[in-house]
Amino acid sequence: MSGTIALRLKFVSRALLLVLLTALLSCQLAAQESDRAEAQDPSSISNITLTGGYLNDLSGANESNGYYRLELNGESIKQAGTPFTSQNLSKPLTKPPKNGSAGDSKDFTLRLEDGAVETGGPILEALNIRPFSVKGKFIRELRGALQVNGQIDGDLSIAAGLETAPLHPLSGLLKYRGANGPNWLILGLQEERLEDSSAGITKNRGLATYRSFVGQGYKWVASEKLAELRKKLPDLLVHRAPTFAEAESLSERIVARFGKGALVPDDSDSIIFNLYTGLKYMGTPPPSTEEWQKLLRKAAESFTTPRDQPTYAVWFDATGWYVLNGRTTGEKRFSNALGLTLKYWLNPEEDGSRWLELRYEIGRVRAAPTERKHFLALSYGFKL
Amino acid sequence: MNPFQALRAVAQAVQDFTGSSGAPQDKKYLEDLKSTPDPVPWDIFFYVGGIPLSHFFAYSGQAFGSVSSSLWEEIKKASNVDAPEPENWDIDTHLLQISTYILVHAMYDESGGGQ
Repeated sequence: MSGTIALRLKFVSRALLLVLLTALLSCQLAAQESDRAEAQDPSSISNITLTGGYLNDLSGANESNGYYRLELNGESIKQAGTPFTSQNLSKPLTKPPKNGSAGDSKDFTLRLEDGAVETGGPILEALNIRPFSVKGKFIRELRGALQVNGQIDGDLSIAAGLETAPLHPLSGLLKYRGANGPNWLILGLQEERLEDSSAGITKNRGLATYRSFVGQGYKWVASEKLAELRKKLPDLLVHRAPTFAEAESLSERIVARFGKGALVPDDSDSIIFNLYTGLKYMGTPPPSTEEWQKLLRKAAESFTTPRDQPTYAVWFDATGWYVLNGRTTGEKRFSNALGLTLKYWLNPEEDGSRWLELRYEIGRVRAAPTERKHFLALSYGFKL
Repeated sequence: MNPFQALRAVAQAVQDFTGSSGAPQDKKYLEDLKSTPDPVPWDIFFYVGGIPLSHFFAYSGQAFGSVSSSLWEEIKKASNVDAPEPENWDIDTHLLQISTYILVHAMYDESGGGQ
């Protein structure tokens, strides 16, 4: 009993320390934010996210410990302790390489990618079968790729990373219950089979997989952050593109700048670009400066129409795999990992930039198939 | 591709992926966007454009990072534009930012690389 109390005290003290540290860092970063010259930019892209917390391993196999993770533009730049593992649960399959491992000198080949099946190889020609391609609704819905290469003497290579499109088996039930939350189930196949008798190579590993998610947000409240943006966005847009001619010039620069990169434009550029491009598409004569500015202000109003944010959310996620072939020592044929999370936003009126999260997770993940995880994690996070 | 098609494709892809129609007040606007022929009235267009991805997920943070590439596949398929997954999108990114990104890539390709 005293051990349990000591563990709880240790848990609470460490969690409080982490919360304090992250809160202090939050203040420092917020101060830097307000000093930025571009602070009026309404872009909602968060640049910095910090999550810290405490993970208590209930299985007793590993030490319980604190952890944190600092992200810049969604990429982890610093983390310590046991990383937050929920990201592993629904990790998508990796596509096999474009060029299959078996090369291009096989007797027959079959490749499925981008919604089409293509076949080829000398064996088909010998049988007087011309290479053919197949397209169909089911094939179009598959993500990833499959490549099969074979020799007439029996060597066969398969590389596959395929998934179905998201299925929604619970949608009907959720709607019946008045819920409107995200829900999906994705089935997959991962197969690597390489046989090359001349080189003495044999690899064989196949998995049937699933990943699923169901969640719901509750107690939606009006966003004050949006109300603030609603006040300043019209003037910002007018300042940025006061005339239709200025909007044309800006739109050309946006195409040149963003068309070759991988960055989404901010809100103000997006609104001006779409309004200008939409009017051009509709064949509307260039509006006067007054008309153009009126359109911009109306666009800003619609974009910032008062809307709600959830105060808390609950979600359940699960992933699992069935070993079709190539089971490793100690690995079970069928493995699962299940997670249940409760997230509470401390400031939903500010679009929930600070939160507390309690997560329970149990099961195995593909990265460590023989290790059974069983833990409870409490996190505090914020983003700028 | 025009702005209305781009936004409609993105909204449809996000709905198909998540199985959700956003926050309670978003549903009507999403249905209007889907059912109204081009040009869509600006108030509907910009309301839908202002919906953040978080409304379709009801959660935020790291979990989004693990599903983003799958969602991006849906958006590419729905829009038929082969653009790379954005580096700077997250759960707070608005639908209009994504549809603009898609539209800009389509226009950049049509113009022969911005020439």
